[in-house]
Amino acid sequence: MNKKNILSKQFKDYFKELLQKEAKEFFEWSLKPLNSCIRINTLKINEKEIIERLEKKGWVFNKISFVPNGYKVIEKPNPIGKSLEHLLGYFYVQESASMIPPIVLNPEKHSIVLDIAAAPGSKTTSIAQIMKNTGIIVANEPEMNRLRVLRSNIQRMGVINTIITRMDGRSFRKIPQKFNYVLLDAPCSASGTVRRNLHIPKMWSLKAVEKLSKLQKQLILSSFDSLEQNGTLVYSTCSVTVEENEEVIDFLLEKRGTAKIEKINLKLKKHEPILEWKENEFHKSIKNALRILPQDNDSEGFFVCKIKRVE
Amino acid sequence: MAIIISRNEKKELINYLKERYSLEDFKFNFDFLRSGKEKVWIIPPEFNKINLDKMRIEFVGSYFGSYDDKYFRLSVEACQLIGPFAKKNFVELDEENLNKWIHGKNILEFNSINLTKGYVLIKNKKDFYGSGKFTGNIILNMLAKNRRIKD
Repeated sequence: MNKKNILSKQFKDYFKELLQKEAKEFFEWSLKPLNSCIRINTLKINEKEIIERLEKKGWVFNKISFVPNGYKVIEKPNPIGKSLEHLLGYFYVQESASMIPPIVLNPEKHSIVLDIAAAPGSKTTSIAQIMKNTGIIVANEPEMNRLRVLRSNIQRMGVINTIITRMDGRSFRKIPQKFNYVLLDAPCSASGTVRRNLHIPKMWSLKAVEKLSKLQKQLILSSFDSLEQNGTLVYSTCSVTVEENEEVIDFLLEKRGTAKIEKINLKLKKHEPILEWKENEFHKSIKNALRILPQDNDSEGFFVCKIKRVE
Repeated sequence: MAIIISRNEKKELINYLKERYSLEDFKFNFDFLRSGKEKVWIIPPEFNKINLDKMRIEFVGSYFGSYDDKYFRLSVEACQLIGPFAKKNFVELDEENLNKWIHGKNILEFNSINLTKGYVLIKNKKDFYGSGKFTGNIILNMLAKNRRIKD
């Protein structure tokens, strides 16, 4: 199949309008193969020890500069999922950009954390790793099949501080428990993940994006309302459309006067967030969010925003 | 529904594991939950800090193991936690036997110093691969299917 035909007209038209001169580069990078990445599970093993051990078996790595414990796999002797070290839970296969949201959330030890859309568990297990298995993480997933995968990954990674719930994420605002930290890695159109999922552009439509945007707005309100005073919310998606990102953050800022965006200090290449789109002008503080395109760091596209609840 | 096990039951389980694997230095810094008669999970003591009202809970903590008649069968993660402290009832597999083990096969030939009937920890170098039931002459492979390697 000619790779150029993978990108649908609707997908191309949208990103031509959004990215203009950079659209061509975005399309080229969206079709480039993506190396697997792994995150070392320091709950179970020392990072240096496992890397040396895998290198002796013929693995070749590049350290990912912008996240701790992350490695790009350049060469591997066998499929990753069939390695003993994977079986033992010594690492998690996770795209490098997807490692960013838990790092930005950076929960303190002994905190109470909500991961509102947790499956398959890459970010939940990363949060547990940051908290050194202390405190409590409520990991929520509404769909049973995805919940089973979440449970299996939490178990394999040796995480003990989780409560797995099966709820509609929008209902968390009604529960009495408030959280120090909330991660909303929202369901999205996955427009940043074409490198890994070549079928995405065929399924992608503006109508679906608009529908998802509505859901994301409801979820971000529920997430924000679940925070205790001075709590921190991280919103992320693996999509790079404006409707699913800047527009959602702007909606929150409009609805909740106590929401303030915080700057993210990570050393990586990024794009400026979009502050004007079609007839909309967004809140200027959205410039502090992280908009990552595949060409920036040879990763997937991602959007991350850190929000504080101030009173 | 899972319940926090009583102080006596917790003490009994810890004493059993300490005796079975000669765990002198291991600290049981967690609480135990049991669902039904057999399955046991571990949770951090901090779990009493959270108000669970209106939450629809499916699972809590990490699966630790299950009662099997007079024995207790530890999960892979439980073996990894306590394994480094065990002084008896573990089996060190060579590469050939390890390969059999991770493919779900029973272990027929091994060095059986200090083994008594019941569950033994399966080890290769510094890694622990769960527990198997030592019957007196073989080790029955009890590794869950999702923790085996499929060819």
